[in-house]
Amino acid sequence: MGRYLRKRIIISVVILFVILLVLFLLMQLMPGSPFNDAKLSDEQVASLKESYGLDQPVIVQFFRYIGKMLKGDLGVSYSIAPNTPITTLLVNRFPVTLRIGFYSLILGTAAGLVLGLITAFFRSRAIKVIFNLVTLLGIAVPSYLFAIFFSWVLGYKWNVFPLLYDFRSPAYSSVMPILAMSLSVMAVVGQFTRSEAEDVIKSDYVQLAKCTGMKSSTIMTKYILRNSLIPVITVIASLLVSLLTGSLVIEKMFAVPGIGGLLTEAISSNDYSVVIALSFVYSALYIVVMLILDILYCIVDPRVRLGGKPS
Amino acid sequence: MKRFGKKLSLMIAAAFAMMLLPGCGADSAERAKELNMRISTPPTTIDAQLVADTMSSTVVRFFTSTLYEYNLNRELVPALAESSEVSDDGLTVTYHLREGLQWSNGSPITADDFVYSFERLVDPATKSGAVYLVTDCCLIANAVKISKGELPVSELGVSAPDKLTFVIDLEKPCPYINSLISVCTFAPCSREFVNSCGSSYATSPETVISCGPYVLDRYEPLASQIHLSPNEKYYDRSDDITRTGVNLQVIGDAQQAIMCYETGMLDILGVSGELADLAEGDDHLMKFSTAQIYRIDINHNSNRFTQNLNIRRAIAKSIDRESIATNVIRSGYTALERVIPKYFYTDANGIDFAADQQLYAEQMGYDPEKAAEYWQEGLKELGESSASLDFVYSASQAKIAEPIARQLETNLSGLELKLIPLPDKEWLRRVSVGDKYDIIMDSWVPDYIDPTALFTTCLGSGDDNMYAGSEFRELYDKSLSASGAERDKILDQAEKQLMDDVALIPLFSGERQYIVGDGVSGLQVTPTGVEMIITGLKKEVG
Repeated sequence: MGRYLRKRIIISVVILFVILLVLFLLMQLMPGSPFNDAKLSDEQVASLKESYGLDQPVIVQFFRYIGKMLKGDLGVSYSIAPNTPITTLLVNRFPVTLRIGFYSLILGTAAGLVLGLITAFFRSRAIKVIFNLVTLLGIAVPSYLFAIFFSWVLGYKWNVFPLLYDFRSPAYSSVMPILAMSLSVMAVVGQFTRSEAEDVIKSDYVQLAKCTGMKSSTIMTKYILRNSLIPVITVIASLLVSLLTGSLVIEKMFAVPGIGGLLTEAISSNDYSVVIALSFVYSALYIVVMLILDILYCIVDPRVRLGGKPS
Repeated sequence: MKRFGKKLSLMIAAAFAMMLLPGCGADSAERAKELNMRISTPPTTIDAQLVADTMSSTVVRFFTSTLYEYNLNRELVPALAESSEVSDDGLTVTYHLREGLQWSNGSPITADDFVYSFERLVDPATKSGAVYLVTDCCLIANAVKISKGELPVSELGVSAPDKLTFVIDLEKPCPYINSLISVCTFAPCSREFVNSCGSSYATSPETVISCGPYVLDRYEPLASQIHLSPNEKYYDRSDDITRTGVNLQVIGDAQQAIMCYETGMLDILGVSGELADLAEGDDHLMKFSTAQIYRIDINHNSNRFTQNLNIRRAIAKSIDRESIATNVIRSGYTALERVIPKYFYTDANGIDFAADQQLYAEQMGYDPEKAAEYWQEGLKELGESSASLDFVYSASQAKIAEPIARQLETNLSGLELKLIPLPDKEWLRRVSVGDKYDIIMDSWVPDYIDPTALFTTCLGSGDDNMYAGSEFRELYDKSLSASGAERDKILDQAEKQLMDDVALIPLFSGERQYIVGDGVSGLQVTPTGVEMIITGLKKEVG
């Protein structure tokens, strides 16, 4: 496992290096510059480019950037928040997105697991119909429609939760964004859990356990849940990355000061340094999550051995 | 295995408990006592000398004050200054500061704080997008050279002979300087404080100090929520204004903003477009005229059709502005048939300079028959039977540009308009440098209250495609050194010259519209519409 990890880390570093290079080249191809303000004179634009090093050849900019990045400096924003270190922008916003994404994932996964297992276990037609309806809605309806629905019912009509994110009560005001984002997670996890659990229930060892007179709850937790988890973990990992990178629409709707809005703002303003830094962080996050996923496989299913060596 | 299940449920329960424990419901009571206002995007900066956009100036205005300011009646009155005087040649302006002015940290506000603020604005190292205010809108001595790095900042024509006297030396007279310096960019700036903050100046509440009615106490770059409290050191502590805390909330989604207003989370909500249409007729809707002008700029140099006066006249008289404003755009725009909008500039006799909006009806008023006559005459002069013109506009102006294009093609037979909608940035570039258009939609917000603020785009060099009439130029230059009623007469002639030459085609002036909750009073915007007037704003609770 150690050898496998080392190999994966080296590959990851190379991939990140290539991603960074491609990002740099793509940024050069983008039309306009971060300094599109008509009120800036040509001299000012030239001076701005000089001070940020944007007048240098791309390759020089690239290696300078790498050098700074290794010291933990992701540069400063050029246009959306001039001269603010990108690390400051990230430090302020990342925890908010992380927290909302994390809780959406936990809530959605827990609800999906419970729904999936119940539907598979009880085999009632009514439960199946309800399950199909709920999961179909969760998958087909975009999260912003749920956001509008929750805002209308819970925020506007019943006044139970605040309509906007508020720094004075971050938890309470995060409930609606979390609910809106967790429904699709619940639907996906529920579908996977149910189909996997149905296979597990039909398996010999579960049938045998039933024949031995074991309690249903024990069969559920000891056999069905654990054996249904492997494909679910794969789904959760990909959902995790998309949740952690923030949902632009949900953030905009609930005025959540998160990372999704930052990226779109940076792209529309040609703020290269912010776009590059965020894309890099996303890529790194994805690679790390995938690595953790491989290790999790190993823990959940001892038959899986990393590195291709037989157990 | 049982342990695994238990652990998982425990972890989930703990995670949610941790999330929901702090601060449940604590905010709504606190919010209700404060003034809650929506802003649609976060400010780009809170550094006054860097402010070059409306949203940033709205926020910065809360904690800054300037030498002169507009009051609730939209009159320009001394604020941090007590009085001012202009030398006979108009080149030296002296401001006398109020005594006892203090920053929010208790240190005194002195004339040197203004010297530093002006120097900082012009200093190329600051890279301010607002430097044109002192190199184009007015011309402070040496500002152009300093901004290009050809002279040191210390050579700027500003000085502080004593702690309460601030002097500006100009290269050209600037009759409207008090209005110009009322924007927040010219707020004082403490040299000592900026030096102590270094590069982190104006990036957090700890790195700004206030000279305005409020103190910033919550802010982070690109924040979605900004909080301010009353400034105990503010000079104007009139008894009739008891200021509460202010919560500026960024809400991008208009529908969410309306729901917030309806549930009492917002007290002031700026509206436009469809929301404004919906709010039309509501008692809580307040409208403020502004000098945001929509007009058509014309290529005067490289297109033979638009160089022809009769063709320009025909275009100007083919547009039924009133019907487009009422039936198509519906809300937020007023038809404009002259360069200067109503309620913008008050002349030396205290009368609205542009009270008569029909003054140039002959040149600009809708008259399809007369337009067709001019059109045929123009084509005849050019020896053509039809014309094709490129009509450039920003994609976001399509709602205005497309009905105009339809009217032009209907009223002018033989005219073929090629509609070219562009992304905002490219449109802005073309309209700013006069590039690649025959006619182009222009949207312009002046920086100060004076007719010349709306004339500046007619000062072409002759090398670009903008209007460069020599008679108009002469009148414009003359207006800078004149004063009083004589100056108003010159400005009148200058505007007439533009209208006679159809240098541009005015279309609409914009309005700023707000839905305002119960208990809120003192909401006003400056006549340009760029800034809110914060000093009288208050909310009375129950």
